Amino acid sequence: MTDCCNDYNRQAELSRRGFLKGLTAVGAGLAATQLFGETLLQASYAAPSGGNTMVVLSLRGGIDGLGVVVPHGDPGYYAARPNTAVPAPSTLAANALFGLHPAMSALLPYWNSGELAAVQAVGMQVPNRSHFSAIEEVEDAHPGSQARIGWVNRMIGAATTHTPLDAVQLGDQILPTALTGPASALAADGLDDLMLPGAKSDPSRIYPSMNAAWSSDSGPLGRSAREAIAVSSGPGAKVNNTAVSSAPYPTDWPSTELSNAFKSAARIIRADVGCDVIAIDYGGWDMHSGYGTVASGSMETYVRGFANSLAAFLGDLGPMRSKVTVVTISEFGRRVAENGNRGFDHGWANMMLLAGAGVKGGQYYGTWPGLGASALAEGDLQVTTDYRNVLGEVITKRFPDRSISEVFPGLSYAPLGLLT
Amino acid sequence: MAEPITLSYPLALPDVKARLFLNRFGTGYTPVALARMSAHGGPDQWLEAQLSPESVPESPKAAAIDNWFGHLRNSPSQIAADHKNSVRKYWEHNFDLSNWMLMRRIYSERIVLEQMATFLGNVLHISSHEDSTAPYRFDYEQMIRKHAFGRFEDLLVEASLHPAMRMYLDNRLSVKGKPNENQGRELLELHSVSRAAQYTEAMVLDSAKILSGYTVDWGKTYNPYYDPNKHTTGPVSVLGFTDPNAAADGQAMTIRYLKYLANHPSTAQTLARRMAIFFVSDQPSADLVNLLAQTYSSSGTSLKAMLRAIASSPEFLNSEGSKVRSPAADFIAGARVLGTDAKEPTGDGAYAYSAQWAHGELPLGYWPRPDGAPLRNDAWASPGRVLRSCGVHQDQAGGYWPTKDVTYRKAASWVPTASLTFQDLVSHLCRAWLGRDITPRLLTIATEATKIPATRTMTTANFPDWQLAYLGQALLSTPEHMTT
Repeated sequence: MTDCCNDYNRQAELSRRGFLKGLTAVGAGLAATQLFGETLLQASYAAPSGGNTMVVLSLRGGIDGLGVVVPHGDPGYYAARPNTAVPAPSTLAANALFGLHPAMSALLPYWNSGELAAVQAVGMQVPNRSHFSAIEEVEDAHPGSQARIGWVNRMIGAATTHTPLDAVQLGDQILPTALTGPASALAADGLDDLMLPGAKSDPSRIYPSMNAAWSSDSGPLGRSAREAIAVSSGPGAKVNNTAVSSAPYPTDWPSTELSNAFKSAARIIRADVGCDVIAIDYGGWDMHSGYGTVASGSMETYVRGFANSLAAFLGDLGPMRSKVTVVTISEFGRRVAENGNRGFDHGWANMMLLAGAGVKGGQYYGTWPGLGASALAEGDLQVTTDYRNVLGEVITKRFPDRSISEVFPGLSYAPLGLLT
Repeated sequence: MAEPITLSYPLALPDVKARLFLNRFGTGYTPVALARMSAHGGPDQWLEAQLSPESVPESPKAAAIDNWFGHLRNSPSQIAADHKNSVRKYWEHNFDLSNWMLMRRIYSERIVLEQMATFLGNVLHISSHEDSTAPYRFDYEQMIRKHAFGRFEDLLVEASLHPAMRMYLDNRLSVKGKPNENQGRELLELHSVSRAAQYTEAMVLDSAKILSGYTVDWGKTYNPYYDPNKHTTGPVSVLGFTDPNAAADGQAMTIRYLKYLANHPSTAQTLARRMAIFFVSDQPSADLVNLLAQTYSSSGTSLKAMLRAIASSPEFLNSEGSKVRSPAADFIAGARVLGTDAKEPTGDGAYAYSAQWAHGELPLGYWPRPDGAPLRNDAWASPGRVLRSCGVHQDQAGGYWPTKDVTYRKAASWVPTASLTFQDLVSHLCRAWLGRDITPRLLTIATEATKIPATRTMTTANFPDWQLAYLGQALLSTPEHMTT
């Protein structure tokens, strides 16, 4: 889908970036939308100031986990991938079975300092190879329930204290399933959009007129409009007054969007408005074709962009890393074997990465089911760890006031010991 | 060309039905659109005329817009050559397509066709993010318009085999024996029966087998063609459709398969539900969905028949206020009532090239995934969206951005008589912008935003443009404008 034409895509993206830069100078309000583009960033503010933050990085499109946390010790990997496999000697942080894609070198210092860990063969209990319903299921995380309430929403709802804002999404105005539910959630294009027009220069006009418009509205936009008014006068103004970091982030495609999202995340954390969860959506992983090799192609480019941006974010946080835990999710892994286009169709089990506060890093976690023909499920790597147990452990360790059974109903909680 | 309309003061007030028809079936109420509806004899007659778009005289502006973006009609090989020679890169071509779409949504008189182009474009979505679709993307858009009031069966066949779709969902890359599953899956899940039909993974693979062979001569002539050497043969079975698939040429079988899917009861239910959500409410009754599905099946998949069924349903007629306008639809409706006048673009920064960045949603057609932009309120009903749209309304009313190659109406032009009270001016603007009668609440919104007392006598001399920006922002940032 995204990558059938990688040869000229890169060129086009580069010129697109220049084009957008030009536009940024033209119109003040438009920058955020487009610079974030496909990367959605959402933040929830439920905790009191000074609390911990969980950054959930959704690698949308279904990242190929076997190409990130490479099972070089399993001969099945090389048998299934004659054209696309990462050679064992080029992997980083290798043990007898696994190693990381070499494009992740920027993250190696965090692995070596014990702040970055990986889990393999993780995912949903039952395979779902549809992008759209799989990601809904992952974000809803309440199998069998008809209510469309996301796990992030349940998590902020389970907090003992609340700020005027219960949830915020930045980078796009669309609320993902994870944040949908009874706890209030906000979605905005960028940090500059957290205030009403004229709220700084002329508050005596905008607030009374907006209150008159919406205070008793019972329509589908009423609650959101009232929350918008509260955000504008409260935490929105606080974030708005917090300086943008000058830390270096990669600016080359395809890092741009993710870098901007991370930069905003760091600013929200620095503003200390009591932010529990920041969710960032980084698409582009649906590589049915154009996957490439270890040295070039979509996978190498995207993994490098991802790793460089994440490393920049961890560096930007500096000492604040002691409060921030990053975890990746994706709707599904990809098939073990290459398709006819040297790409990978939709599969099942995947990997997850964890970084930052509390993580017992420098290690690979999970139970490896193997890649032998008899170990595969319809051609896919089997799931041996329920992804909710990874997220659940982060919540239990970093947000001990939340009830895990409330956030993940029906989960028999079995932590892997990923966090201290 | 459409006859010019002269409006008189006070403006006519639409009833709920007229407003609903213009705001849901069309791209938005305006006093002029209401006058045209009245000239037809009412909402029902107006809708019938709109369902035959060639019978609706087009605005001069719509013809001009087609000329501004005339290069969209170039042949695929020309578009490819322009890309190679950096005359116009693919991404620029796709962005121009998006600009053309936005301008048509604002300025065309065939506003039901425009609304259906939005709806069907999302059902059979091709993301303009995908640069390689550029040579075929305008033709795809025209193809959707051709079938917008025709049969979904014809639309599904043509869309599925269109070179733009072959590029977008990888079918052009399918190889014999190892078909690419991408389109095979999305055809079932997104374009026809949906997951409710409970097809298996084996059926997804068979779906991909059936489609394999349709490819594109990419890099040479750019023409679509069928390559039997890429077609995977062998028996296929998908939800009751079976074929030995023994022939190297699977084209006749593929057409049969696509028609079979179009006429499957699950497709009827899926399309009926999506249409009810788009045109009526987020929670359409089972009765309405069943009625539309039945209409679809009994009419030979007629989209026109489905629209008529919606128009006469009490559930629709009682649904005002239940749908949140998407940010783009909000912007389009705002530009229409404010009379924003786009001029021929003369270079970067022109309104016709930049308005896409002004509405706060992704540019039209740029939804990044094949499932199409969301139809339900919850996607657009977040506090952040409200914050963003409030700023957009101020820019639109004040004419703050974009400013090149566009004329915004001045405040003085909105004063309908030599002098009148501010309350009467607000009353006039409520009719002009919202199609509503003034209420105490709307008056309070206006007086708070401008700090002008209701009784002050207003003339063209004491209504400055900066007050228009405040007033426009305030009256458009209301449920009356942001929901329909």
